[in-house]
Amino acid sequence: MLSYALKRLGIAAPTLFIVVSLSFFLMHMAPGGPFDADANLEPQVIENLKAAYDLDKPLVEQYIIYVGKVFEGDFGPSIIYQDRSVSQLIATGLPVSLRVGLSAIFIAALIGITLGITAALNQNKTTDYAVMAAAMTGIAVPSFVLAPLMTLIFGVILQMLPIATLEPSGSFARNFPALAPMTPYILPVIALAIPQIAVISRLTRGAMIEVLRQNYIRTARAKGLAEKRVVWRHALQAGLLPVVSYLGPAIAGIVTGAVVVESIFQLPGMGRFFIQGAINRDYPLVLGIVIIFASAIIIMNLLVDLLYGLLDPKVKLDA
Amino acid sequence: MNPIFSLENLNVRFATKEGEVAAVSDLSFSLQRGECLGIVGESGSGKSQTFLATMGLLAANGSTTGRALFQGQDLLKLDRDALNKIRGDRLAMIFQDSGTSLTPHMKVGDQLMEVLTTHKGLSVEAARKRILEVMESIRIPEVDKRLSQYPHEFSGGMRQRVMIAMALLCEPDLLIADEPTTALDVTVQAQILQLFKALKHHTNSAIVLITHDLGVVAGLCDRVIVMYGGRVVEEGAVADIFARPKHPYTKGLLNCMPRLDQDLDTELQAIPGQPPNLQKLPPGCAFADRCAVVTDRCKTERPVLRDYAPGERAACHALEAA
Repeated sequence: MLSYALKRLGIAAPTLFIVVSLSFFLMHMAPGGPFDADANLEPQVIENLKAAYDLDKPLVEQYIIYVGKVFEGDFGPSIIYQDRSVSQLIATGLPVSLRVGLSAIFIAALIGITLGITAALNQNKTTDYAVMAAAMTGIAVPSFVLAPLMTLIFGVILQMLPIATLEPSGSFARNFPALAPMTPYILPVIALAIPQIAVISRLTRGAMIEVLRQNYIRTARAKGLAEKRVVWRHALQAGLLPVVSYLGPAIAGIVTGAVVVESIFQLPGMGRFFIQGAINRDYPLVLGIVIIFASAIIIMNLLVDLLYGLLDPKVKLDA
Repeated sequence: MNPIFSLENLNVRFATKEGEVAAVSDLSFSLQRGECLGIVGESGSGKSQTFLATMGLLAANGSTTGRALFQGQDLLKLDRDALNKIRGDRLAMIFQDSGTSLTPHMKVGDQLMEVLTTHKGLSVEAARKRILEVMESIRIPEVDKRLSQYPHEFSGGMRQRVMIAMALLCEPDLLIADEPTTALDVTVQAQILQLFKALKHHTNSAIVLITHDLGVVAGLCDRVIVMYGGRVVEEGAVADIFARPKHPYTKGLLNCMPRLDQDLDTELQAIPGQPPNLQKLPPGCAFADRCAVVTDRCKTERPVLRDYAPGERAACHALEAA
């Protein structure tokens, strides 16, 4: 398994290189540049600025310089956030995104899997219909509707939770001082988790229903095992496989920037830097975040495959 | 002697979108300790559903009426917890497709172990000892290595042996084997049948063998029930049924079997027509459309099961007339 993992990481390097190259040229193909907004600057000043960021050189040369720096671990300076390097921005943004994203996905997996199993065990009964109706709603309502609505209700009307700040405030923080530091994250985490709960519960339900129909479940029941053991020991492992393959990329996506939710709640996470970078043509910032995102996807997919090897004994991870 | 197991007017129905399916109708028979009963019939004759119902393993849209008495308890009335105390312990079932009937992500040893820990409360060492004993008796080599393997590392025959071992662990009073040899190579089939023969001699369990293979019945069973369209059409001792089949369907089944003492040029006799549609069973005899001796009465009036000799029953108008 170790040699398999190492081999997979070996393949990751060229993959990353291709991702970086494609993103680099795509970014530069987009019209406009980082200094277009500063229209009232002297042309000479803009020329000087461009030279400072090597933007006056031919594109291929810029590319070679950039790739060379990335190999040394230097993502370059940010253009819009002056005096900050891309690495510094990622270092401040990633922990915020990680905290919000991992909490959301953890909660979503816990609730989604539980709901999915419950629905599968009560297939075509009221519980099942209720869970699936809720899940459909969760999928259908986009986060840019849900998040402002939650802000309005819990932040503005009820004054329970802080909005658009990392400072704890609101009635919840006053009533539960011990939990106060968490309060700025509650709404974003819920806003991120709800659509994920919906997807995960539907996936789990479908997979569990499929597994519960298998002959080996009939065998397990014929053995007189308690229903709990039939579900947990005989069904769940196979039922979770699709959820595991979904969770890998989902985690990568959610922790490297929940663009919409971070923007609405004004969280200084990766998603917001990504948006700002893209709008202002901050080439190094966007590319830096793309590299982080691509790496996260690669790592999560590797973890999913390794997990598959553990969950399904038929999967042989040969190097 | 009190029968160990008896069915009284068992009906199994499935609710489907197209209407009710009558899988088993008015089925009654009983079984003595130590007896081996063969249940024969085509696919859809209700032979498997009868025993899935008995085990509480019907699909969610299935329902039952009647009684299934096992050691004095009506299995159909028991709730899941009460049933779980019996099935796997005193009442065990072997399923036909061993390739899909073992949990793929559990070690075979664990799947065997849980039967004993659930029903007998044995310690891991004691359970292991019992497993080794049973696996030895049904000739599974290299048991130690085998127990830590997964089902996909077993051959079909070995998997079927595991299924059998699983059913035998608690020394059941009634063992139901649903086509235990169907998915296997002929040579492996022979080995498994040998196993059942040995089993029959060494235990006092009652055995029910569900099969469509009359050859298997001839080799193993004491008594046979022939099912058609969810009902018993004939019942009797194996020797009698093979020597003097009464019901036209039984005769047809026997004619379908290739015989070694016949000319190779003789054409193999098949029963014409298709098994009946269980959603639209005719008011008369379900076999009427395929029967060679059919009369008008057969199409309107269902023949009842009558005794023709001690232990010999059949349901056919032609027999009554004779």
